[in-house]
Amino acid sequence: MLKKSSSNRGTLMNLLGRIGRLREAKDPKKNLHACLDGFLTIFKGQLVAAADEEMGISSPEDDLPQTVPEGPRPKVDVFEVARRVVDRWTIVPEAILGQPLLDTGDGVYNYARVLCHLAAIAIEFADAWSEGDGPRILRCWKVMMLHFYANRNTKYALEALRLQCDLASLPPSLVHQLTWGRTVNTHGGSGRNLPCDLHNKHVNRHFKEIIGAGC
Amino acid sequence: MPHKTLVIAHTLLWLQVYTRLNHISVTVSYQAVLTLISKISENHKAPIQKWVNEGTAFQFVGDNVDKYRGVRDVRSDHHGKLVNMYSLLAVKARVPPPITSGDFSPPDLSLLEPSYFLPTPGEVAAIQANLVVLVARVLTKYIKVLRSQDRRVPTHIPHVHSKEMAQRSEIVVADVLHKCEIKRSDMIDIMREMMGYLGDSTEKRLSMGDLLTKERQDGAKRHLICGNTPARRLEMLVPCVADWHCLLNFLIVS
Repeated sequence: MLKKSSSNRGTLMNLLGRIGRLREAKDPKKNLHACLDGFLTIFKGQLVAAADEEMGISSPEDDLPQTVPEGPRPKVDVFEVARRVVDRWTIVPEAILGQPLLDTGDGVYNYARVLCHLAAIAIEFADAWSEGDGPRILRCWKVMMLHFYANRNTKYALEALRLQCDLASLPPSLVHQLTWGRTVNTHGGSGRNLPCDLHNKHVNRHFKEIIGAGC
Repeated sequence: MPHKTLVIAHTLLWLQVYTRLNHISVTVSYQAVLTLISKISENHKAPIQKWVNEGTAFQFVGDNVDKYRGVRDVRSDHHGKLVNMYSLLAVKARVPPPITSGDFSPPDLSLLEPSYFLPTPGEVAAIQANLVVLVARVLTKYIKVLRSQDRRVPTHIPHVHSKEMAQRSEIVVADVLHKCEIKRSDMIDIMREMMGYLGDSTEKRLSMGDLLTKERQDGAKRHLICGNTPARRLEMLVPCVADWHCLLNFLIVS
């Protein structure tokens, strides 16, 4: 999605440039957290705009339009709005389940829909590992397997399939550990889990700082 | 600060020197140096051996560490060197696996339908249900008319083992091996080192890492497939991929 399209309005590169995050968020390999943060910031903007449209307001700071003049202020349920936004503007279930897609013919709409679909999967994955919820993480692996295969990233698609095979074939104790042992919590507290390999990277970085200072 | 203090400790300075340097924030105090030295010198393998003896579930997490040692003046006979190492951690399972009795025979995967490995409508609905909460968090933060309802939105999506996952993990830095994981012989040595921690235990353990580490470990196991014993065939180690590199690759691919 981050191809050379900064001049095309509404593309990810253009939007990142508008919020001043393009330089840091361009390359996930150099700075994954900046890239993820930029991507999710754009996604949150899309969600807020979609919710405003659902509620009939033009700006997030506006009040709801009065249906009855001089009557009580209308109320809206946040979960109802969120449900409508999720159905229309997050993941595309037809794409995941292999069902036929409706071709709207609107390229801009399709692009925005794909952007929200990918960001929704990323935010779900990040939240799943922060809570240490094993089955949720493995569910995201299943969905990502399809994206890796569609984008010809064969290695990760094959590893995701091998993970499914391991879950089906390994002894129950290992399956349990493969499900619930994917994260570590270095501080303690809810929502503070990290993937094992990310913690290993932190340890490696500390180690390099120490030996670098000693050299 | 601690690593500078270790260099000074090697030179055997007087106590007054530590006190003076501590006052100007160059080093930690003398007592802190002694505590740090005793901590570094202790047997880091002891917790892992205790876990193996007690039958506690744990897994290995490993990754390569590459440090480039450059030189100021590069000549044909004097140039920088890349030092390849492998860092190994052991992480105790916070959720102990259920105790199963009897022998386990792996099922025949060829009998499973291809749809078994694909997402189901129920799984997609579960993802959407979680997304409702995540979206509600965003909306209550940024939209004025919904801000008053932020207390209704859960801060953490609960699951079966939320309480255990909120506990701090027991992590042991097992070793930093001077081995290059790219070379097959070194990878075999690394895996034999991991087997050394397990002793005579026949219980299988996970070895988590990134995709490349897993590929190299699988390659090492395939190389030793003709070994006489399960230990020589490295059957006790089951390589698997961790999650952070998966998200990294997903963002690259997106």
